[in-house]
Amino acid sequence: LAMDADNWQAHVDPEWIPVITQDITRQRRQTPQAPLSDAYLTGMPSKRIKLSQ
Amino acid sequence: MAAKAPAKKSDRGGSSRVLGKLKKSIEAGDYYEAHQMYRTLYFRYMTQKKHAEAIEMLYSGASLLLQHNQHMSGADLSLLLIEALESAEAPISKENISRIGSLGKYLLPEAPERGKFIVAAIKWSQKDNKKGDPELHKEFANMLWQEKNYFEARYHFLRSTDGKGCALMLVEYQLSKGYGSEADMFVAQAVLQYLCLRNKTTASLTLQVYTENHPAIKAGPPFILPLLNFMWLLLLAIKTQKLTAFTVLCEKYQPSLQRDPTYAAYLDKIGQVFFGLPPPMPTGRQGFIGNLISNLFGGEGGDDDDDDEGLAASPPAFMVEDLD
Repeated sequence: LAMDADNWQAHVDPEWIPVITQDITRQRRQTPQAPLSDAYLTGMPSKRIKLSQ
Repeated sequence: MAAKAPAKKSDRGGSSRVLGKLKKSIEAGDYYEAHQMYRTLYFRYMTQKKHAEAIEMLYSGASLLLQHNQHMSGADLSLLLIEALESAEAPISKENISRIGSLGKYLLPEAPERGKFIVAAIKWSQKDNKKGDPELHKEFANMLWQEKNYFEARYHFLRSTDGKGCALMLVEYQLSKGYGSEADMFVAQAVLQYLCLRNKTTASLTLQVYTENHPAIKAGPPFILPLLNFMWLLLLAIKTQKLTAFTVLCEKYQPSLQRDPTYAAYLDKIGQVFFGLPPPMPTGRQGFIGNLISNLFGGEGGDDDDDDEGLAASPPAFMVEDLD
């Protein structure tokens, strides 16, 4: 599974390359995730929520 | 044989006469008497193995009582109906599902009997499918969505094949109860969970309908939000069975995937289910969480068939006691 970090383009559909390239840039500018809402958190598996409390 | 046939016929005539009489007594307000009579007849029919008659009678009695606002006795007969379906090993037919759905809508959302009714009905539908019957889940999901009980609706949608309903419910849920920064995360969470439950068709439909209908997402694919592109490309990688593409995606979208620490664990599971990857080695915190989720999904050491039992059987907290 080891692959050259610079060579990822060879492993995906050519049409994906501009999408992924742009997203790599966008993600660098991404702000850290703010705390999540209760509505979102309750979607996690219930036992996981219990264990993290 | 010849002697039996007319006897059976007259029995049926007898039972429809009884039903008519019971209906009249409910309409006259003799609720207590009618309720006791339904119970008596139910036990009599079941002893005689007249399962179809018992089911028909309980459904009619429960509906009538609930329509006359007799919630306690109506709920009692509704629970007996599920008991009858269970012991009669009644088929998971459209008719039985619609009977359950229609009683569910009459039962009071805040009454403990309704929770019991839902759990018992799902349990009855689990004989062919460990997750419970998708059509029955759909019935409950839409009922709960109408009541704005998004948490429980979401649980049932994930076990149905109603991707459209799930997506539209999630748009409403996200807009009314979620934060603005979670517009992409609500659908990502559902898509990943559908995939863990091996339901890629519904995962795709949910992503499509959600993104088309969420006012903050507008156009795509490709989308402006990287996490949505990840979901879109992930579904394509699964469709084309390209393991290398899956690996590239997981690596290049790390910053987006780290927004929710459980995403990594879902993706481990998805790697195992769709790409034949081995379970991750338990090293460090990531390994710990990964293993935890893997256990939730029942993946550890289990056969393929048992893999999704964990997620399937980890119901909302309100159900845990009844199912465990």
